[in-house]
This record gives sequence, structure tokens and C-alpha cells, in this order.
Amino acid sequence: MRLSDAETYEKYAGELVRFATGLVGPDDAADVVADAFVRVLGSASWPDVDKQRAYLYRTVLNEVRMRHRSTMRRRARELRAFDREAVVEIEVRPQVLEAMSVLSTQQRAAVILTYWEDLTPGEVAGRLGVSQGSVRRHLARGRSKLREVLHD
Amino acid sequence: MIDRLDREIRSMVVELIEASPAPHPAHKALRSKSGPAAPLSLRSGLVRMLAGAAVVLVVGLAGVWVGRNLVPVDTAEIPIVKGGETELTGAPQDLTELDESHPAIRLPAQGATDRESFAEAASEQELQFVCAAGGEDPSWELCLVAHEGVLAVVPFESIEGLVARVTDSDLTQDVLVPLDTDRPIGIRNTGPLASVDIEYVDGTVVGSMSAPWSPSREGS
Repeated sequence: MRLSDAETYEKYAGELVRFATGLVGPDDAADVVADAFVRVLGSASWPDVDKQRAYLYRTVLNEVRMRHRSTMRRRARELRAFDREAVVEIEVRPQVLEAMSVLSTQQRAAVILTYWEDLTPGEVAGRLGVSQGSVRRHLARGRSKLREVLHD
Repeated sequence: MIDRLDREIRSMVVELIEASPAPHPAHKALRSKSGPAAPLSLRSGLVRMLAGAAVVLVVGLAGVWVGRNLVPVDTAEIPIVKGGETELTGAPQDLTELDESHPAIRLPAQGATDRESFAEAASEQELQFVCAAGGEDPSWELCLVAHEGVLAVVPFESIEGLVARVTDSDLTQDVLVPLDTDRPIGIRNTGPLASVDIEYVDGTVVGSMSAPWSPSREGS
């Protein structure tokens, strides 16, 4: 039995917001997911989608890519805000946001799904609709970049 | 080293993810479809693309059609005559194709030289312009040009004036320009129907015409 739009949202929104938080930070995550849902549910192909979860993850990833520029600007504003104010509301150290900002969107997605959900590269590949080799590359490059940032 | 890096990354990711906000309520998130447009299926995209291309094509063709059929408002059909050489803008070059049965032919053919006759001919035959041609050569001619083609060729020395009919989309007016047959004359269109100078080749201005095309004499 197929879920209604609202039921689908209730079922997946939480984990997608966490995924989106890893990609764009906490400020925009909920908006990204809401926009992704609106996009997906309005799609003519959505009723025929079998693997809805993976489809939603990919849509969130695409949504993030489209928002990349504005997100970068917003992140810069966040970082500036952190310099002036206590880190109370968002509860993320600026160093963390800064470190994640050196990664590309794809690298961030691979890192988040690997380290947060403990997915194997094969599982990440299935979730994002890319090849396993691509996931391994993104993960390796992401780790390399993070090593530079964290150990500098 | 790798374990340490993994621990640091995991710690960082956990810190980031734990700051995740709650999702928007479903009724709020799904309330508006005015968000980003839904992705199109390949078929829908192609249909839209083709429809867009068709609209552009139709509008373009319509623009071309309108452009070709509009009466040019700012185009004066006045020949440019300089230094004894005639450029009959838009006029037929073959003067042998005269319609001798045309009433207007009678006038110049009979040697009518007065300005009223020319004005009448111009008026009756809807001449677009009358042009002078020639130079020092006594074979100077005056061409009466109508929509249909050249109506008559008149020896230049037998006339005493030029009658020019200037036509644009909504105004037609005959203009008589007195002529000194001892001096070559030219009609120069100095702009897109805004002004026409009539002058001798030596530069002396006979007169000028400007909208609404009444002649005014200048110089001598």
C-alpha cells in the first residue's frame, strides 16, 4: 500500500534533515528537505519510483547542489556570527562547519553517510545513485582534505 | 593515525548531525507547491521544449511577415542626383519600356514645359518623383517615374521646373522646384524622409523640403 504524501514526509523527513544538516548545516537543512519534498511529490515520475528512500536522498543532494552558492554565503555569515556570539543555539563549533566547508557536496554526502549511518561504500552508492568506485573516490578525497584541515 | 582521523571525523559528523533541527511540520512543508518546480519527465521536457521552439518560430515568422508588409514610414522615394549621374532609386532603368498609351505621355511628348502641366501630370499619374539627370550634356532628361515605371522622358532644356511628388505612408505632396537649366541640378535626400535638399551640383541650394514637404527656397 502506497503512503500518502504526508505519511511519506513523516516517515523520511527526520533522517533527511539530518543528512541535509551534514551537507548544508543546521540552519538550512529543514528548508532543503521541505523543498526537496515539494519537488519530489510534484514530479510526474514519483508514483513510479520503487526505491523512494534512495530517490529522496538523491533529491536532497541535488537540492543542496542547486543551493550551493547561497549556502556558501550563508555559511560564511554563520561563521562570522560565531566569531561574535556564543555557540549556544546551533551547538556546532565553527571549526566543524569550517572543516566541512572544504568538502564538495558529493564528498560531504559520502562522509556523512559513512560516518553517521555507518554505511558501506556499496550502500552509500545505492543511496546516492552513484557507482561504488565514485563513493570510494569521494570518501578518500574527503578524508584527505579533512586530514589537512584537522591536523594543520 | 587513520583511526585517529576516523575518530575525529566521526566526532565532527556527530556534532554536526546532532545539531539537526526538527523537520518542518508536514502540513507546513507540503502546504505550498509554489516551491521549486518539479522535475520534468523526459517526455514532458521534450514536449515543452518543442512547444517553446514552435512559439519562437511562429513569433519570428510573424515578425518577418510584418516587417516585409509594413509600409516604410521614413523612406523618401527621391532619387539622388549628383554630378550629372542619376541614381534612380527604385526606378526602372529601361527607358524604352514606356507606356505611350498612358495619358501622361502626351504631356511631355507634346513638349509641354510649363510647371502647371507637370504638376497636373504628377497629380494625375501619382508620380512618386520626378528626377533630373544629365550634366553639361544637352541630352539632359527629366524622368517622370510612377509606381508602374517610367512614364515619360522629357528633354531637360524644355522644362522650367521640377515637380517632385513625395510619398510616404500617409502623405503625398507635389513639390515644384524652379529650374535653371543652365546649371546641373541635383536632388539629395539628406535623411530618411526628414529633409530633402535640392541643389545645383556646384553646391548652391535651390531649396529644401522637409516634412510636411512644402518647398522653401534658399539661395539662388
